[in-house]
Amino acid sequence: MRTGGGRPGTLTLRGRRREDEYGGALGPQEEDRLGWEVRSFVYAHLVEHGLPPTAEHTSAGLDIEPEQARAAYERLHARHALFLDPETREVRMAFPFSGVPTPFRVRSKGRSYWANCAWDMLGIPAALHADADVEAEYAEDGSPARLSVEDGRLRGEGGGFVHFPLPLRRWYEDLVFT
Amino acid sequence: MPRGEALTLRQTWDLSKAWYDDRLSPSFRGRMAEEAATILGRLGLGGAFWRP
Repeated sequence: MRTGGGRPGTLTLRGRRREDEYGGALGPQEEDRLGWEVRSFVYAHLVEHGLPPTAEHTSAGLDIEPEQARAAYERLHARHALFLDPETREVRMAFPFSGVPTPFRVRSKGRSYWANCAWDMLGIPAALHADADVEAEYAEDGSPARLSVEDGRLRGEGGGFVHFPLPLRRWYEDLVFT
Repeated sequence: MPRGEALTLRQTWDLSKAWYDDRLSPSFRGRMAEEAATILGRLGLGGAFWRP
């Protein structure tokens, strides 16, 4: 056991192992550090499993209190580092990944992901630095779009376009529409 | 539906590489407006529509 800040050390119990680090009321620096740690955990989970972790899962995975995980989610949402579902407050988007099924599917390195939009469907292989197969639908007629990224090059794009309906400064007004 | 702007898929791929290259890095801390504007500007995406 170790002590920190004059408080007694703790045994390694679930939800309490990190009390020395994140126990009690967190100061701004600790909140900041925890937030980025949560962000890293969310993204690592997404890359590994194709879906984001719930706040409960993040709490267990990082050995922090569930309330700390939820609070970190909210802070990251406020900073536009994540986008939470308005009702469940779970991760809906961790750009370029979607936390829910969408028409934009990306397969890479044996795993399957959903992207939030046509930009993000290419953002996933860009973020992964990996080859990928991309499946989407053309908005005009629902016909399938099949693309791939191989050795950093885009293949199969044909004459397709990506439409951005709103200017960049308005994207956060309604991220689902954007 | 607003008129907006359209990019070719190739332009969008170039944008994706520039925008998301470091997104999975544990040290990624978001992007300030100026940096975003620089990235977009290098890709020829200037003007009011692409202003952060």
